[in-house]
Amino acid sequence: MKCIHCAKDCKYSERSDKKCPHCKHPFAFEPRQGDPFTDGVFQSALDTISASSTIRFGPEHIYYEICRRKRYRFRHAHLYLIAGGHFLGVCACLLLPSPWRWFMPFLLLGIIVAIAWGFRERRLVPLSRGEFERLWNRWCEAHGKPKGLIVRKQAPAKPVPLESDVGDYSFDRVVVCDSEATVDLLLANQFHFENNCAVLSIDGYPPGIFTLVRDMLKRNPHLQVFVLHDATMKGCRLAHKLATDPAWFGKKIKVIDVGLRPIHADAFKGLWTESGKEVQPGDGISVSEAKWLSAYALALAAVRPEQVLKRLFRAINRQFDPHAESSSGGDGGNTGTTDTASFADDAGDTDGGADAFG
Amino acid sequence: MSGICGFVGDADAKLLDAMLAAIDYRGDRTETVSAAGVGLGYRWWGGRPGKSPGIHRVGDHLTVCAGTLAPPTPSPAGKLHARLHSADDTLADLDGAFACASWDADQQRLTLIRDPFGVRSLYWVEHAGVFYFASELKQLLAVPGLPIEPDYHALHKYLTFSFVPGEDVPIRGIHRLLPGHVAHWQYGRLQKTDYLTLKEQIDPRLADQKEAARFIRARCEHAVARRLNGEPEVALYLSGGIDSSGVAVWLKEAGVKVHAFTLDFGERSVEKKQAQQVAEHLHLPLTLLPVQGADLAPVLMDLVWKLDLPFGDAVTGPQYLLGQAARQAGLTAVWNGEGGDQFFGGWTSKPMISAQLYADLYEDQSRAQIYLQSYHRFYGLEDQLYTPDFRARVGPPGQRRALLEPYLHSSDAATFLNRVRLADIELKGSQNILPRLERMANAWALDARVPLFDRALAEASFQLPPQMKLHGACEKYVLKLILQNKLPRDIVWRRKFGMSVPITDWMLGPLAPTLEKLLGNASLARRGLFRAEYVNRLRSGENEPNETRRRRVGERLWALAMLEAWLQIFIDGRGRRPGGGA
Repeated sequence: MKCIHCAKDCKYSERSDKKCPHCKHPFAFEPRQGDPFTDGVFQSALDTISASSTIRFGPEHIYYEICRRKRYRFRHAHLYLIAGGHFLGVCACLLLPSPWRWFMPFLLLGIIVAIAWGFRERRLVPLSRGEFERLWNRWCEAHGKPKGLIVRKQAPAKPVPLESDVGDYSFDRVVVCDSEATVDLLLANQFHFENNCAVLSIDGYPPGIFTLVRDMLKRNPHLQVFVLHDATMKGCRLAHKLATDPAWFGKKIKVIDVGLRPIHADAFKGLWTESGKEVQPGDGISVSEAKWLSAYALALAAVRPEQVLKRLFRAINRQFDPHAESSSGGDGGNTGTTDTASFADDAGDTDGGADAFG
Repeated sequence: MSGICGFVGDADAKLLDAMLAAIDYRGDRTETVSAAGVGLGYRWWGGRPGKSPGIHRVGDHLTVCAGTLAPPTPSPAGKLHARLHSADDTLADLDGAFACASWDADQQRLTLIRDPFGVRSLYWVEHAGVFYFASELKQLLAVPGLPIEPDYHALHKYLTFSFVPGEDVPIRGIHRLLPGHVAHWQYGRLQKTDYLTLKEQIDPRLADQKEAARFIRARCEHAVARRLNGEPEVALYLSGGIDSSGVAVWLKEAGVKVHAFTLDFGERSVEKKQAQQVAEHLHLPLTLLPVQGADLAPVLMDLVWKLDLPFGDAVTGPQYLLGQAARQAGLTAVWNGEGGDQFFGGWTSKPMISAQLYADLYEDQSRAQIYLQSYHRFYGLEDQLYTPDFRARVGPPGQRRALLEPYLHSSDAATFLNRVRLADIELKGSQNILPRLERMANAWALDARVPLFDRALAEASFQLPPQMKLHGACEKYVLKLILQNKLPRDIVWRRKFGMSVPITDWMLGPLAPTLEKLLGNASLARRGLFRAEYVNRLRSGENEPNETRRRRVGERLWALAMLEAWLQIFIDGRGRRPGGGA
């Protein structure tokens, strides 16, 4: 097993103290003792979700990335195929003249193994939340919190007062989320700064400034409103709620739904959870969506952060393009539009505004 | 236009000729004067109004001045001499675009003074017991025996800001007098004081929209009038945005004959149609200047040499070509709308308000860090870009934040918007926009006029309630109120796009061979500042292997290329004109 610090390999017998014999750095996991993966696999998952340390992420993103890691496994059928096929082949080879009789069985074995390798099964690593928490704590103990992990600061005992005028302005757009973790993802990655954008959760996060920011939104009559959410009943009704709740915008404003909906779920099979709640169509949810949501749910954290950010950037770019297409989602004609593009489309590229000469 | 230089101490007076020869494109006439322990030099274009006609002498007192005052005067040097030697002059209304040096023989004291916002520059260095000064860096490099070594701290700042902020320049030992400052060299010591401090003094009466519009309109018109210098026709860089369009309106109303110029990037033009619309509306002749990346390759080294300091904004290339077009049209003064963003709440206001609201939620983030990222160069990418050797030379952490913190916590402004404005004026405005545009205009012997960087207008802008600048999400609100009846409605109220130079296309396309020369592996290895892996990735069109949004590649490449070109000219070549000459 390779050490993620010094990249040197070592045998099981050399790491009985769970430390690298070369650099003495501890290992977090030991597959020989029942752990589902090595430190290298975990590190690889971190590299993937952080897009090589360029994007910040939460523990929930690590969980889904680990769950997404697939193992190649041979089923019993594969082993029977190799053994049976080779036995029959050897028998047939006995009929061949020498030297083919001695050479062909090895060639045949190679061909059969190659075929079986191609048909081996890819399976997700089954991992419960509780098991992940245990492994995550061990990782942090051995290697510390990974760079890029979103860590909230402790709220100061006495909040630092904002300048008196800060609440007098507005934003070009807002992204309203159904969870605090999604708000954290956007804010920690400076999405608000790059896009002149407010980011709030529907339930009042971040708490200290929620009311102030929501009031600021009403100062821009041309505000662009996006919602970003899980594929859950609450998430899929978010756009409708914003468009109809007088505490938010009422019907005066178009809401663009860029969140996860059942239509996106196929790409994330294996990461669905059971919803256990009957969902009725209406209020932004179509009949077919209600059927899926009655059985399943899918967290936005199952989508890699990079793809979530790209999707949002792309949706914003489309709002500047008068020829951009969008389509109604669910029965949400009264809730604005749903961005039905996949979660993997490119975010587009711009050089930004550069500098002007006035 | 024009330039000055000089020394105090035991130096050869012939050096003045060399220092003036280093800026031979800044005038066709020169004059030097020297006395015991002092020498001054002046270069200027003859026959241009508003320029000092030579070195100003009053007895043994000597004054040289590059540039013009606002309002113009036949002898800026004479006027400044009088004001500097007046016991009770506070310089409270001193304005213009000038760099001046005045020698007081009685006091044996040299006084240096720079215009309020930094259109003109002044550098100084002390070497072998002699104090030297000049209006351009390259002039100081003519001082014999002056060691020329890069200042790595300054290079580090350049790579964050895309210009070099503060008093330092990227050559060790050479310093710059900050805009709005006056300095006295006497008894071997330099004492600096500022004569301009912008302070927020909000007038509640200006909360009324009509009153605010009337108040600012009068000052805008006055700012334009104070810069008229008798030219029969002037050039105007017209972007199609509200600032340059406003200047066009006020020039037109002042009865000035205006020839507008704008850039044509073909299909990548962002505001070309708006510029055409404004020109048509105001009946201005408009020259559309087609600019392609390939146009920049042959002029790049001359452009860098004339910029004098490294400037990493891609707008300098098109500005150079615009200047050429204006000069070829026979014009000698070029106006522009720079300053609207700085004084009336454009661009950076909204992102910084977002950052301010959400500041301090997460570990490893501060307000100043976020502001530094807004320059979109290499802040936070140092580990990827810098070689270990360069990384070890850039100095202690916090230098860059220290440039911002005084503004973001300034006691001169209580409102957040005006604190951000102060940072924007003092850093980006005074140390980037103004010096680079002046040098690009002077590259073609054009006099740069920047009416919105007017002292009285600037002070007035800090009397406005900040909501008159950023009104909800509407930027530069008061300018829009003023101009809504003077310009087409969609020009006034549309969202700003800025002059987006298609620099990524250019850097990855027609300028790729130039990039290979400047940032190829051999060049990178020779210079030893940057990691080839990162630069090569940029050159292949990527910032990061998995970036969420591919952007700013061209701007970053341009910033690196400009720095390497600058190092070749100013460090390797001691500031001599590329390809020979001065």
